[in-house]
Amino acid sequence: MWQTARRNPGALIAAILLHLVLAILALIGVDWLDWGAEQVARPQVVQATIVDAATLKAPAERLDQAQDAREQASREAERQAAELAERDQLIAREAQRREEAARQAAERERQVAEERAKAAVSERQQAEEERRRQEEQERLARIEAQRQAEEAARIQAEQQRQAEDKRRAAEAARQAELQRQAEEAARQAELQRQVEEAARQAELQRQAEEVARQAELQRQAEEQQQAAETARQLELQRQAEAARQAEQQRLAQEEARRQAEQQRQLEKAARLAESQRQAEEAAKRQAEQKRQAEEQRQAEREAKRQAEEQRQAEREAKRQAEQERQAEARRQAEEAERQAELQRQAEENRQAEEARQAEEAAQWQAEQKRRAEEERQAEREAKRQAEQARQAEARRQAEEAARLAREEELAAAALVEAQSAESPEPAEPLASDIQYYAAAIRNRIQPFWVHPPGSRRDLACTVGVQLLPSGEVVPDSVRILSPSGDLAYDRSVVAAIYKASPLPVPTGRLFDEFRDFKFVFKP
Amino acid sequence: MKRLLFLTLLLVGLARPGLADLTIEIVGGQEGAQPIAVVPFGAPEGVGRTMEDLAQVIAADLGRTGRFKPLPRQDMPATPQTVEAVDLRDWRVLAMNNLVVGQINRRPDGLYQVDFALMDVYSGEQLANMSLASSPAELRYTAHRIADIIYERLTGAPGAFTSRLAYVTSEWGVDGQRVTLRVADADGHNPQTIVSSKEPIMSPAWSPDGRRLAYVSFENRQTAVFVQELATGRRERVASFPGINSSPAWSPDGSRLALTLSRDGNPEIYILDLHSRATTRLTNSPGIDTEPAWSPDGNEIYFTSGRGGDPQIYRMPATGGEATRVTFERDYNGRASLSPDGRSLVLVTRVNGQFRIARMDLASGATRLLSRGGLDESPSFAPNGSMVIYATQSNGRGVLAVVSTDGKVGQRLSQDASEVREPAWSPPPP
Repeated sequence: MWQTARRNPGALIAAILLHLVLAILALIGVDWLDWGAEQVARPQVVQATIVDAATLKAPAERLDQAQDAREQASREAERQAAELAERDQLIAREAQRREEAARQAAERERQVAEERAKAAVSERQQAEEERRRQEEQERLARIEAQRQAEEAARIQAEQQRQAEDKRRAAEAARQAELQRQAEEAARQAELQRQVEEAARQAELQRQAEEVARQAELQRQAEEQQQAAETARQLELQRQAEAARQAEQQRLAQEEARRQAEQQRQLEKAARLAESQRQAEEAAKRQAEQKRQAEEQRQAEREAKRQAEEQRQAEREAKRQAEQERQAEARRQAEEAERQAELQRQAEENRQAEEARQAEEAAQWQAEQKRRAEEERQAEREAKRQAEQARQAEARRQAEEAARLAREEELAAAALVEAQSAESPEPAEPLASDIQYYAAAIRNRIQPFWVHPPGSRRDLACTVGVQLLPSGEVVPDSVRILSPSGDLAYDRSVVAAIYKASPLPVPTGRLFDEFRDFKFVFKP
Repeated sequence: MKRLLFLTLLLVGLARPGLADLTIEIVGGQEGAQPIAVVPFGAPEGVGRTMEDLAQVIAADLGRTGRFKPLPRQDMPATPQTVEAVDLRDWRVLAMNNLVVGQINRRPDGLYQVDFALMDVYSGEQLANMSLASSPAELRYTAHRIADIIYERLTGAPGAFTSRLAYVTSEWGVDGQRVTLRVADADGHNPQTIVSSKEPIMSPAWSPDGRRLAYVSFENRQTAVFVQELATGRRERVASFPGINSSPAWSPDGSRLALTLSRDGNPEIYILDLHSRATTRLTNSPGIDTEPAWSPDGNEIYFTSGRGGDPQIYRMPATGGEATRVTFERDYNGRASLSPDGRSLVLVTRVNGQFRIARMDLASGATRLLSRGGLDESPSFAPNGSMVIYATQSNGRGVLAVVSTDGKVGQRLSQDASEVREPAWSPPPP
């Protein structure tokens, strides 16, 4: 052995360490605290007040579960000790009874003095036993009482808190109801205001359109007049200078055309300024319009962009026309050089004039077309906006109408019902719909029903109920049709129905099914 | 006016009784105490301080049954004292089912007049509206009477708050042990000593008329059964046979006592006729037979017997005959007491070494534990069967506790510093 150890000292040390560890674990495992418990002095007995023992149960059980294994083990040990003590005590009691019986038998033969002495001994034993029993229970009871006191305090606090919570919840519900009503009122006011606003906006828009249309008409008239004037002047010039050189004529023509061009540009600038002013005005008006401000600003931008595009297109067209015109002029100049003859020049002039007139006409037509297009687009845009406004308005109106209809239905339901019932051949209510609402009512009432503890399982209480179309239980309408035989149970049923009011009910004809119906309450 | 009439007729015509056959079945719900608010009673100026807080007594009575949950005072939104001052909406918001308001007024003859009303919070119906006269000393009793009335109106069963308790206390003084037999109100207040002795007193039992108590006394170092009249204090030794004389139990007609005697060697159940003093032996077994209890109809005796090895409860005809075993669960069942309706019994049972009170349904045999245990003993039904009183240990001494018959609501009854044991609940007051 020793040699083995010397051969392998590592194993020896390891074995010794292992034993040491095991010994330490064993020492730690012993519950030394348990030993001293018996020597604790008797506790101060506290006057017990009324304590709610049953409500202590649940938390106590939870606590028990939460305690760790060691505590459970120690409790188990205590309980076993108590049980052993109980068993001993019972055995002792049993023995005592038998001894008493034996003693009574012997008593018949013995003297009275002996009997008294024995009785005294028995009593002392009894007292001794009683004291022992008390001591045994004392520790358990003390721990128990302490825990109960703590739990009682906690539960009282908890109950108070719950009551407080409940009261607060009730208060909150009442306030929420008030708030809801206030919100409803505000919403209605808002709707009304929006309707008015929309109407006002529509009116403004209509006026703006009217003004724009008139301005446009005027502008067109002016333009036409001016165009006619220009044409007449050009014609006069052409006649007066027919004899002049082609060069001079061409210069004059060019001058006239330049003037016309300038005038046209001035007009255009004026027009643009006008349209800009109008756009600005519109923008100003639109800025006032809360709901559509953004939409309209976008529309405006869009319009501007389109106008800009058109202006560029126009400029491009003009530039091309100018190029063409220059090419034509060059061609005519060559022609003039080639043909010195006046007639031919006149002819050429006539042709040039014709070409110019054609060009002019084409330009005017293009201009007209452009204007028409602009007009059409503006019209389309206006229409689109009007349509949007109309749709929004219609939506709002539809919503308002639906809400009003709902309210009307709730408030003057009897009337509505009466009217709907007047229609001939009412459609048969669907069984599935009835089932749906019956289930909803069941779910609504169930949490409100608290029946008395210990109610027998075979109780059944049938009650009749009348409901308003709002689902509210008609006051005093709940009547017991067949009582369960347990008054408290019946009362809990009636209270549950009133507490659950209003019940979820369908509207319209289907409500008739729920106007007056029965409940059967079973535990 | 005509249009109104037309509309009314139209609505009447719409009632369509043929469609009113919809029936919705509600099954389940929760089991629980019914919420009730007992508003503090109004009292005349200057006497409020000395006067009993009737509303508190009433609320405590109702709450102790486990069938009602009184609203805490701090949660009350208003304190009306008359029906006229009540705004039922206040109490609907708090989901109360019922409301009690009342006031106390001094009468010219020196008595107090207590007016109270019990209201249904939803219908507004007055379920009770009464006026009771009370001497200043009786105010607390008047509160118990009001609680009884409320309980009866709301449950249909009589209340038990004006009934009384008998119990035994023991104290150790300089001259040794002092044992007393006491009688107190059902809430433990107002205790009065009936017997005081230096020797143990055990097993008090109320006569069916509530006027007498039978008990076991060890005076003269010999067990004997006494019957004592409460009003006069006159008492009579009815059984002092050699050996054990214990566990008296009154027959429902009050003419006989069932008790345990060991005069023939082994403790057995006997019937003692109180007129003739004749005894009839009921049981005959080698085991101990003790703790007899009568069924309410007087036809059967339930008792504890060790004939099967473990103590268990058996029953047999009161006229004698075959005993049948009643309890089978667990290895200790004893001290049976029948409910007033005879449908169930309470007993002491042992669970994991703890003695606990249990209620057993006689039809199904199912038992339900009512107490937490320790050394619980002497269970006894309230006269209306709504509660059970028993003795238990608290801080190392015996105290009384009541528990609702479903075991859900239990309370200790406050006592002085003495050890209290063996309670017995009186029959209903006449």
